[in-house]
Amino acid sequence: MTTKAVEGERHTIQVTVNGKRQAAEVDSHTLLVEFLRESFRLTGTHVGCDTSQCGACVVEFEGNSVKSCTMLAVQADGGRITTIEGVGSREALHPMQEAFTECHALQCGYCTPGMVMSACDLVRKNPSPSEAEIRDWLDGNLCRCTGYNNIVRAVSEAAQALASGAQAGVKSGA
Amino acid sequence: MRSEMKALKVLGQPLRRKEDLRLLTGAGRFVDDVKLESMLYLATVRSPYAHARILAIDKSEALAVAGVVDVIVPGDCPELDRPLPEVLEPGTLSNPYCDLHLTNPHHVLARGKATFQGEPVAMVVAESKLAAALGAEAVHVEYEELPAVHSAEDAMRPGAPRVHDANPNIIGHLKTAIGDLDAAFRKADFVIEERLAIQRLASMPIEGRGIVASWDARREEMTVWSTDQVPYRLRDALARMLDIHYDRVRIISGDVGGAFGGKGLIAEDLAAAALSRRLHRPVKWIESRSENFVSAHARDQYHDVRVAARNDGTLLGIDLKIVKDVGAYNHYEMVQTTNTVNHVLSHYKVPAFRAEGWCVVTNKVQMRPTRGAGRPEASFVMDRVLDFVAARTGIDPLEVRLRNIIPAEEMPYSNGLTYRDNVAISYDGGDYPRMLRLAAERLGYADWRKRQADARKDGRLIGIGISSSLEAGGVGPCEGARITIDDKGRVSVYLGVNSHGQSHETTFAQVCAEYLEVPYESVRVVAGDTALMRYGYGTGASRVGVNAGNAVMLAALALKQKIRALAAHVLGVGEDDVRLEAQRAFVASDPDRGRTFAQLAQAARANKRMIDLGGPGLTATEFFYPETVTWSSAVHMVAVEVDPGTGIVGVLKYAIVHDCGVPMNSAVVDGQLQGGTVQGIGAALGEEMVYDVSGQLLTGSFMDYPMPRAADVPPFEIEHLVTPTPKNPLGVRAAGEGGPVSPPAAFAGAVEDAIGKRCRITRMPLTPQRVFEIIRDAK
Repeated sequence: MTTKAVEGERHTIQVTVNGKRQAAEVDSHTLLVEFLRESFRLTGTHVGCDTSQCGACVVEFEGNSVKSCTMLAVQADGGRITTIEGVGSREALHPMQEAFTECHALQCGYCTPGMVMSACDLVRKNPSPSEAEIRDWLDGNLCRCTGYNNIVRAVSEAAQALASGAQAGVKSGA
Repeated sequence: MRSEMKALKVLGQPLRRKEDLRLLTGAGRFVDDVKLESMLYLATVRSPYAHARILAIDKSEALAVAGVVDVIVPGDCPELDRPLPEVLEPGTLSNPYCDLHLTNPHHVLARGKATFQGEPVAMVVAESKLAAALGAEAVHVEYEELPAVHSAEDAMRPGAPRVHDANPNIIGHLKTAIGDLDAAFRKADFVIEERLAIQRLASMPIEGRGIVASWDARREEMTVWSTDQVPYRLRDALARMLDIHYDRVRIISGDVGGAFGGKGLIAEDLAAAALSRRLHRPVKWIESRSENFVSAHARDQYHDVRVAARNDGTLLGIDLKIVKDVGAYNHYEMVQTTNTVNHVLSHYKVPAFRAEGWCVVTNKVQMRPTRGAGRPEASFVMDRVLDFVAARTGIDPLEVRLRNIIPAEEMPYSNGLTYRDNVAISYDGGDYPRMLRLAAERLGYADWRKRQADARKDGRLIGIGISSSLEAGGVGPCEGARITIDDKGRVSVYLGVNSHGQSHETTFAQVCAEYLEVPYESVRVVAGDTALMRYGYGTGASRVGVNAGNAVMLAALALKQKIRALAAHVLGVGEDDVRLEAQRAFVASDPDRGRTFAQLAQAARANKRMIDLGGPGLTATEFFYPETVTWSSAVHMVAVEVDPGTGIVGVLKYAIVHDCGVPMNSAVVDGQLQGGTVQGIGAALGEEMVYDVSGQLLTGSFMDYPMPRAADVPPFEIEHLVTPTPKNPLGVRAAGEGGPVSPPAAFAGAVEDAIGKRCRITRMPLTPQRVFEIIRDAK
């Protein structure tokens, strides 16, 4: 047990987080989720387990949703990351966020950022998912409050809104 | 008692939640998001054994780990030398049934021996989370393993090893009886006897527990960020430990990621606070999921039931013996077993009933409540009994229920039992027969019976299950609310209860908007900070809607009266001549003469009229003290198909009829019901904390503990009925537990009905393997 064992090897990495290019020093063992939360104070990405099951930590990396507890920060070197903070703002919610609030698809809100990030990835890849496809896709995101049905409805409504051209901050059909 | 009967404008509407903008944009502030200057991190060394003497603890290697600041073992920190305080739920100071209640001192760190796998043995505080974890790994503990007591039956055997050397394993006893049970059994056409068991499981919120404790040495004050459901209990415990006035301890619990009964005071709470004061630095502890699996469990109760019944399907008497395995420690007296006793008769008339219960310690994780807290066990017993009577008499299960149900005209109905607040039970309204028939209609009961018969011809197994539940909620002693209007007419509502998903910022804003007659948008609910209100009794036991909801209403009405009095003074008219409308007070006969609420708020700062209106400012504080609980009710019906090849249970249709009185926000009530039902489905079909005989937990991660996922959940047919309770001005009943209580009973009935062949389902959960075995054994 030495100082070195605790600190590990240091690496300088370049990442683009929520559109902003930044350099940072990280330990070899630092998880992407720790990196985002600690180095950038992007605390919207949550940790709900220690076995990559719950999905509270899902972020977008290079166009794909990933569990940021299952990636090392050094693996993100050179990549583009979007966290929940980069999806929409209070003033201009993303259609997915808009649908979540409209459908009462959250209660405690702890799983919500991961759920939204995962759902956004689904509709990017499958713009009109069936209910079964939504349920299947969200298999890696646990929610203990809502019972999921309102989440599934929200994802479906957001997909429809996005398909009809909705953008962040522009309410569909309003 | 409903003082303001009027058409509701805001209350009950499915408005969007005020919490959502923050939570959806990653701007929530959960405990793990708190990062303070010079903060230290706490990690716990846990016993790997269920039962073991601790012979020696060597902390030298841990102290040598870079970044480790201190290692705490018993005796190192005098504040931590006293046991964790016992928990008595609010208003439950005198359980009418309990005649034995032994407490075993539960120390922050195990004393002499560890009594469950996961029990804290030592703690490490370090400069980083990683250093703390590495330090914990480097603490060497020498154990001598002892034989573990792994079940309640095991614990009650003569000569069983003692979990705690000072006390026997039976630590609690209760009993009660109504009617002439012996006569009931003499008159019975038949008697049914069975053992019915509800498994050990856990609350499993997605956020674990956590605390940041920060001692300010200059002001001698403690500020704590915590996930606790009852922040005032934590405040009082810390104040007592630190021997300071409780006003010097402030607990902030802003956003909490679900709780469901499991988030209460825990060893690390005391340790973090004690170490922060000792080291003059903030200390943070965040529970990992693996730790959460060995921190607190729930349920684990079996029931030996003997039933006297007639050939026409009517119940004459029930004799119930209950044994609850509380694990190594029990801080909840016999609250949950008492809940079982008081909910077991459910929607039915049972002339004679006797209950006796025991709480038993074992070498397993301590028991805490989880959503339902004794009620799922109650419905499981009653609905199983009714199904067994149906099977025995050949009368349809729905008809058996209708023959025993309490008619609506007998409301309010008293069954002779006494609630745990020591008030005689009285069901305060509701139409149970209508609920049952409506649920049957929404399910398509008759149709499923036909489909069941047709399917059976093809070898397919379809079955229907029915379960009714009651939820006594809204237990006191009270909650308070303070409402303040500022100089711009903006409204703040302060509460002494925190939220972990219950939508308080929305629902209580709706109550305030309704009764203060101000726009919903102008109301902001502020809570989750003990500095705001002196007292609060916790968010649990489905008590907040009733207690805090009515407090907000009373405060709104009081504030309106204050506005009227001040306006009368300012306008130079009598109070009766003042009208309030659109946030303005004006003279009824001359509407142009008036003041806005904002102007009056300004005036209230210095106007001497406020001398006998409670002092400056447009503010009012009121408390609501319920006389006793209110009773919500639900009926769940499910049609399932069981795959005989795999034992997998598929839901064909699921219908719920639910009555929680006046809803504060219908979408929130619906969300509570759906989410709760899915927790109940998890309990019915998969979730179980499984131990081996040596007391090792075999289901310690989400890999082994199958919480429902999106694809496991069926759509629900839901009908909400609204029977306002006469017991509080708002007419609200509890809304948190109508979901989770019935699914185990409903699925047990449905699967048994599907398999047929006189099989009896007597324990939960119905995992595919267990269903497969039941099918195999029924052949």
